[in-house]
Amino acid sequence: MLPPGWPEQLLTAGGTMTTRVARLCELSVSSLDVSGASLQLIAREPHRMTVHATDRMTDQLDDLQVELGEGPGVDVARSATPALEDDLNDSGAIRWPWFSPAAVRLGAGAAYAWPVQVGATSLGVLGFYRRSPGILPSTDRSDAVAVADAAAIVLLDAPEIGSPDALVWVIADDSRFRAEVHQATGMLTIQLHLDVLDAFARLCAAAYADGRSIAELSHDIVTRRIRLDD
Amino acid sequence: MDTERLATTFVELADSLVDDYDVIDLLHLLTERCVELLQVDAAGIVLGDPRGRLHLAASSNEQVRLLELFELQTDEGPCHDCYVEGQPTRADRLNAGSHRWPRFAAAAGAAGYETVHALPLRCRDNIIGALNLFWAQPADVLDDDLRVAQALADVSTIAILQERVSSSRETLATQLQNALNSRIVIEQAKGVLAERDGVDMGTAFDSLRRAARSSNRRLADLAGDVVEGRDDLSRS
Repeated sequence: MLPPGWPEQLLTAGGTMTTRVARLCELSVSSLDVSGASLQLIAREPHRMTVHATDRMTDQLDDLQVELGEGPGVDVARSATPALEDDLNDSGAIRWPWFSPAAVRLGAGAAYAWPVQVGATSLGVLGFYRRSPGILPSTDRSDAVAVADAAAIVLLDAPEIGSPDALVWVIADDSRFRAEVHQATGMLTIQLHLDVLDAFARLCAAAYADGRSIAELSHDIVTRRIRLDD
Repeated sequence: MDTERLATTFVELADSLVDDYDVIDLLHLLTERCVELLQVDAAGIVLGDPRGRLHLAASSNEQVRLLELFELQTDEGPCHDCYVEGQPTRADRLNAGSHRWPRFAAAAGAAGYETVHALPLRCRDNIIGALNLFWAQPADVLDDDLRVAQALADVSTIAILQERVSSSRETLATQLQNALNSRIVIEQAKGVLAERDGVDMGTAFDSLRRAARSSNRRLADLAGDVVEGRDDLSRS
């Protein structure tokens, strides 16, 4: 359960948007029955940008969902309703046949995601993972909704996005934006004569097949060490 | 006062309110027009933030000492008082010093200004900042000039408030997503051009930017056309 007074502490503590989102994720992991937490901004399908992930496993699980096109975050981005899976070994394997076994191999037992909504707009995804399977306590489930609401406030009240024009530069300057992934996708449209969605799908498939991250493979494509039309 | 020029100024300001205007551009235009129309030596606009601190948003020139004058007025000065009280405030004979704002008077005198007028940017009870007019000479400021200046200030107030309304939370959320999508499509277009032309990403970006500028299009729109194969930049 989250400690009393957490929203006020979070919102009055100051800091940039990124540090406040990080604090919110860390607070979730220390107070709720979860092992990892992340917050992603939803962009044009199928893209999402991670603002913060508490640990490497969480980051990998988020990537995995993009590579495979399924998982709780994918469902939330599409439907704007929570996606909760208590057991990735069992019921999860039916729900997400590709994601669940791969997530289990990375060490996850349960995966949850909530929409970060602002009015009718789905702004982001709050993702939680737990190493062991099992039901998330109902107090933690309601806390998660509150954390998602707080995330919406933190994302939009960011001092660095005071003016709409500044938004572009916040995102452009951000290393988590992974410019190379999108550059590599553009290169693949030419190399493989594909449209941009199919080119991205090929990039994801190639990374998954090689057991590498999309970011690593993209770097090799952009630096012209690897071509996918060979 | 040049009434024709004045009419043009109002048309310019009204025009700039219609489509995608940039508030900062608009405020700079306003300060420049104040200098032209009212024979003031310098003009500036300060806006209050939610904590009530004043920030310089636009000025007719970038003279360092002038900028310092605005900075100082965070604590004291006609501009500060005007913002707090919502009333036009004047300061004359600054070279002779002032009991009301000793630090401001000394700094303004040292910067070469004799007279300062501050006019509130207000809409009903909402005071969002102030317009400041500076004269180097002891000025006989006409009431008519001040009325015109206040009207210009009122137009800018509407411009600023309009932008703030449109920047509601939901709009901001959409803008955040649009910004993210724009960045994605621009990076994709760089990749397309880099691969097609065998150039590095920096060169690809330069040609994209040049083509957008020469065709007067938004970078993200052109990038979208490049990615979708609708534009190969060959016209530029």
